[in-house]
Amino acid sequence: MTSFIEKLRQIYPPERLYEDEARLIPYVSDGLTAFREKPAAVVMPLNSEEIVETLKLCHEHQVPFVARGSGTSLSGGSLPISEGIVISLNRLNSILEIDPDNRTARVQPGVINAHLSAAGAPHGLYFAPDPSSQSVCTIGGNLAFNSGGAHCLKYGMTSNHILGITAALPDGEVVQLGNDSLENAGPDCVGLFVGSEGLFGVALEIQLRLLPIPETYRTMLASYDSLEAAGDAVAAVVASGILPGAMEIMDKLAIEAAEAAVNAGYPQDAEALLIIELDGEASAVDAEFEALTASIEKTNAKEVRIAQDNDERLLIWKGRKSAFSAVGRLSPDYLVQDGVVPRSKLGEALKEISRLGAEAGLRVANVFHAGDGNLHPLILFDGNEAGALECAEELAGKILRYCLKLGGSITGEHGVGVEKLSFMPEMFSEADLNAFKRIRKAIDPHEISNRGKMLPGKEAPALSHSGPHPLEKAGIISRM
Amino acid sequence: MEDTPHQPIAPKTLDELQSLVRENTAIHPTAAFEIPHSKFKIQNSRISLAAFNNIVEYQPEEYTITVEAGALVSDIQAILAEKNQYLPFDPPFAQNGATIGSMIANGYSGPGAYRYGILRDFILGVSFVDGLGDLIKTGGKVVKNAAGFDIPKLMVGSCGSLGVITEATFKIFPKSPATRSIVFKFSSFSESHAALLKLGRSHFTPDSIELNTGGHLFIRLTGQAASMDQRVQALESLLGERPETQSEADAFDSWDSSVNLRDFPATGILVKIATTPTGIASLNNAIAPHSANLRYSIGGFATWIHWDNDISDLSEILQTLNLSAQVVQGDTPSRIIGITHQQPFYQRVKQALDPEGKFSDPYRRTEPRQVRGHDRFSLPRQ
Ligand SMILES: Cc1cc2nc3c(=O)[nH]c(=O)nc-3n(C[C@H](O)[C@H](O)[C@H](O)COP(=O)(O)OP(=O)(O)OC[C@H]3O[C@@H](n4cnc5c(N)ncnc54)[C@H](O)[C@@H]3O)c2cc1C
Ligand SMILES: Cc1cc2nc3c(=O)[nH]c(=O)nc-3n(C[C@H](O)[C@H](O)[C@H](O)COP(=O)(O)OP(=O)(O)OC[C@H]3O[C@@H](n4cnc5c(N)ncnc54)[C@H](O)[C@@H]3O)c2cc1C
Repeated sequence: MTSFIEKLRQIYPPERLYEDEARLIPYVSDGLTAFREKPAAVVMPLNSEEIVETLKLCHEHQVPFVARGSGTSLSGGSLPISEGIVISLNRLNSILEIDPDNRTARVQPGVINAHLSAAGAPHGLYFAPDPSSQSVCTIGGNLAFNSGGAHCLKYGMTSNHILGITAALPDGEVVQLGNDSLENAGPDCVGLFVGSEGLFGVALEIQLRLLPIPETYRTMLASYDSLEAAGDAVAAVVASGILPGAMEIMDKLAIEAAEAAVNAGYPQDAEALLIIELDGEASAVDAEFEALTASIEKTNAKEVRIAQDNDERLLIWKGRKSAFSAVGRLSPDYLVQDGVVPRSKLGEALKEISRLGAEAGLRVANVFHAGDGNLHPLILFDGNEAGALECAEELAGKILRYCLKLGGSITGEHGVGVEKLSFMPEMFSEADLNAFKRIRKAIDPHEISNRGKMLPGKEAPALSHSGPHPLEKAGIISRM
Repeated sequence: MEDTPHQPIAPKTLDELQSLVRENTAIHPTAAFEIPHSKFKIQNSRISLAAFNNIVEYQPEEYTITVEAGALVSDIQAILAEKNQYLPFDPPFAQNGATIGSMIANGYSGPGAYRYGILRDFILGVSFVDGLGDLIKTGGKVVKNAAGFDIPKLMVGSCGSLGVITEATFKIFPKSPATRSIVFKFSSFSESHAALLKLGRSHFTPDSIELNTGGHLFIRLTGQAASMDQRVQALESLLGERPETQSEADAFDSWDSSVNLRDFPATGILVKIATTPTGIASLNNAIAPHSANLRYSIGGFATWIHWDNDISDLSEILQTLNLSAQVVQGDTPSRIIGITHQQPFYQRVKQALDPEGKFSDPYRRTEPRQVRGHDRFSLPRQ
């Protein structure tokens, strides 16, 4: 290790190589603060060459590394590895090119998701994947986790918007996958790299697809007496042949929390709120809106509101996107899961979640991508109470198992990370996991790239309650 | 199961298929049928999945479908159409007997991919038998799933080189209530190309856009019937040219011909090139002296070319233009031509899934292999 660190010092000046406790602290956790691990060092490369040099060094010394964007992973994906290093990519944040004729962009991995859309805006373009964390999370993190957002129903996940990747594999070999086109020739290697949770090395440059900013939006807010009724409304809309840009549901607890946090003007007497957004060419949206109104009329909504202007639309979304942190305010701690169920089983799944929550004596708020069947139960607990974290984890596990039982998945967009490692064998057979491991080994023979994540096998890190995020403790961010 | 040199072997069960892969050294999965004229000179032993043609799961309200790999694409399309649903990426060659397995392995998409994405954007799960004979299930049956490596996407365009696909799940979409097809007839390719770029810079969201080399720009709009006239007018004022509106019958015929590449000769070399809307201008110039047949699809992101000359000439042109392409039809030294920069990464993955090299390799010519122990493809012993 000492000779390894010596060599790191030859690549990085002290201000870009953190070895001291104080500067390592902000990196010990990601968005899932229940896990902590202190890395041996954090490096801050300024260019691809430094990354490649670093990986070659890690490979030679068999030192594990974790690439890190903004550290907002909710599954422990960017949790450091003890005795390993963190490669922080925040300084690689240039948008290298925006090509409006081909509607593409080429970026470095540390570019913030929302900055890319802002840069596209003058050309009438935007980056479609819109995770709620988009004001802080990076394209590299989105790529590694195939992140999604409210508008993925119509436009797909991050993977559907990545055309080409220049990547440094864990042994330092630089490879080029895909190209500048939506089409490909031969196997879709980009598709394999996206969503690989940092196990395949570091994405150095990313070629992306941008979409035209829709000419117009129509955003509808419908309130219901029960979650089930809201779920049925989703099914009715989908059955009518309309493909909305987004369909999101919030339950009472989430509505109250969002309302308290940002005053979105949501109806306070609703058990469930359905947000539906249409987007596209004005005349097409007008016609779709009529069809949508007709199908919503049949759904027993308590109240239906339409955003009258862009400010009202943004306010509706502000409430939805702040729901996570808002629910966080209701309780000292929360865990969020993102299991997926078949869309027709949403009602059944929600009923079971509320039953399991009651059984565990824990409050659960629900905010989710209804159109995709992607749940987001937020389990509230107080980590200072003995056993509370374990109890919350147990409830989370039961919910994920129920998703699997209904034929769904343990994660729709947050990834496996360290958090869901133990569920992988429940979703995949030994042969499936072996195939994953063989691919991993072929790309990373020493298994140094984000070791201990996604693929079960190595010792899982211990769960510990640690209160607020280290950045919060350090006074850098706050939930308020 | 018959074991004659000209007939592919058709295992009846997954176990049989796995044994076939385990006990033989060269495997070439094919479409369900014995084909009189073959696109490629087939040197590997051929396996047909004709016995695997069931629909595993289809609940229309889920907007997903799971089918076995030997099912005919045309049959699946018909079943979806009954429920007013479809595969939005317009799979080519459905009429030529393409199976779900060959559709994925070839990885082609038709004009409709412009709006919502190509095949890889609609595949959710894949089961396959790898080179070790293991049955691997990856992805899921729900529309969103981030667990495990995204092998379903990797299989798109894998050309039968990473495993025998046995089953797949797709995301499907509702058919739009109405469509309208229009053609802008410009007098030259450069004018229609300029119009394509103008369209690309606008907020218009056509379902499909195609160009031929003669200045015709084909556009298909989908959506609510009430919006069509207005949308066509808006396009007219954007492009400053009055389009011809195709009759329903003409529109059907012309898109159908385009999806199935019926305008191209059934013999000779057919190639799919991954292009960009701006890049097709230089491609068009570079190809012009060679009098080849071209069609620009998916809004300029895919180009189909029929090439009657030496394939290495085309490969060279593509290399100078920094383009990759896949051979669709014709006997060529390798299936991927032009730029092949994905190969080093691919080889690692190939090594993992097919360590003994039983399947072909799209980057290399597949040489006839020596079979250990027996001199030709044999059935597993029961
Ligand atoms: C409040 C909140 C809301 C959220 N909402 C959503 C949501 O709506 N949808 C959603 O999908 N997620 C959501 N997330 C989760 C998280 O924001 C996403 O997973 C995001 O993509 C992570 O980006 P990051 O830059 O923070 O990545 P990090 O957390 O730093 O890293 C995530 C993973 O990516 C890897 N990685 C990072 N950069 C690279 C690179 N260049 N090459 C290779 N691997 C790399 C890391 O090793 C790690 O495994 C939310 C998180 C929070 C805290
Ligand atoms: C323009 C054109 C016209 C045609 N006309 C006719 C015609 O008139 N009549 C007719 O019967 N056929 C026709 N065909 C079909 C074509 O001739 C046959 O599909 C082909 O000859 C069979 O050879 P293949 O195995 O290479 O291709 P396919 O069987 O089509 O397979 C294509 C690719 O997919 C792979 N593959 C197939 N199934 C699987 C699987 N389950 N798992 C993994 N990989 C798989 C193959 O290995 C191959 O790489 C036509 C095709 C074209 C392009």
